[in-house]
Amino acid sequence: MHYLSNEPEKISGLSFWRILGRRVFSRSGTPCGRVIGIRFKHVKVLDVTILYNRWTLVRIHSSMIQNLEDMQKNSFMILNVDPFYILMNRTVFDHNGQRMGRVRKIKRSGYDNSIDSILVKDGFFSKSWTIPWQDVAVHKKSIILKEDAAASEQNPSADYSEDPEKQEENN
Amino acid sequence: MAGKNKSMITSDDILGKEAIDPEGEFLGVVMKLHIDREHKTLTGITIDQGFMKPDLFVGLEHIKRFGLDAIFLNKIPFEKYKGIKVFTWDGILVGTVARVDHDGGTIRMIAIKDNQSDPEAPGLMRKATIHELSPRYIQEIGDSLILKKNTPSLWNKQEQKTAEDPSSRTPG
Repeated sequence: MHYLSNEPEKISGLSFWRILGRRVFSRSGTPCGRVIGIRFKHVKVLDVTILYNRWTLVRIHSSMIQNLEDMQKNSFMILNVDPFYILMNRTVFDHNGQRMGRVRKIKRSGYDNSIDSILVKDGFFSKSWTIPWQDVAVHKKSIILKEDAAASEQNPSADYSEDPEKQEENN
Repeated sequence: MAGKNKSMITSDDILGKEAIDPEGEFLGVVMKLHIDREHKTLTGITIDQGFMKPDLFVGLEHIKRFGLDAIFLNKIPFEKYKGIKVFTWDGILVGTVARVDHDGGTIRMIAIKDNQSDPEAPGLMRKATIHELSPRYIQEIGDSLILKKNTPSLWNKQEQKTAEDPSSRTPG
């Protein structure tokens, strides 16, 4: 290959095709998908498109990528956050160890990584619950709720209210 | 017989339940209860971790709660990190965790099995070497282990030694 440059030496870097298909890991090392696209603004990388679990497409801003500047030929992409979408389908337990179901929806108010609430449902005919994010104590491999969150379970108007969309439908 | 007390549970309520560690990870299913013959008290449980993994004994002091569908532990069994991948800060895979030395609550040393010690050797001829690494170089540990940016190269012993011992550094 011929090389044309004003620099005296070849500038080392990675081509677009080398980054395409590269595996992505979250801050805690959880697999988060593969790179399927990169968007540029002028010459700067704006965001990276990631395909997760065959169907989920996510665009992640370049500021959330830990090693974008230091990527090498054989390195994986590592994020500096645990992205919200990896919580999908994780099992949810209340503080008593009772299984409530799995995360079916994640509600966010903005485009950052903060979560407002999660929608938990077990089976097709089972109840669904909307749980505010501040009631979550552990959110790693499973989601475990705080003790005071479970205390309000008996009060339907409080934190453990049924899915509001369904309530509206019933009314 | 007196009616069943709500705070009392039976072996049926424990056996076959999922054991969950403080990080929310499913460790296995409770398969045995251990009872002290002399004091007639429960001393711990055994967790079946699945195929090809050893059974895990958990003492009663490490059980946080006997839940309705799961049993919560209050301590992470560090053995679960064995075999996870190790990445450098810039995302290069350097090996896997071979062993974790700990003193109950904190990690003292992590042994990393490194396949890149002799990068010149062809794939199958490469010998795996074990490197011991201080936990202060760990940025994050979970599904994988990610090292901090200033971690010395695992295969450069001189660099590691200098980083471990600040007195050996030359001034200036």
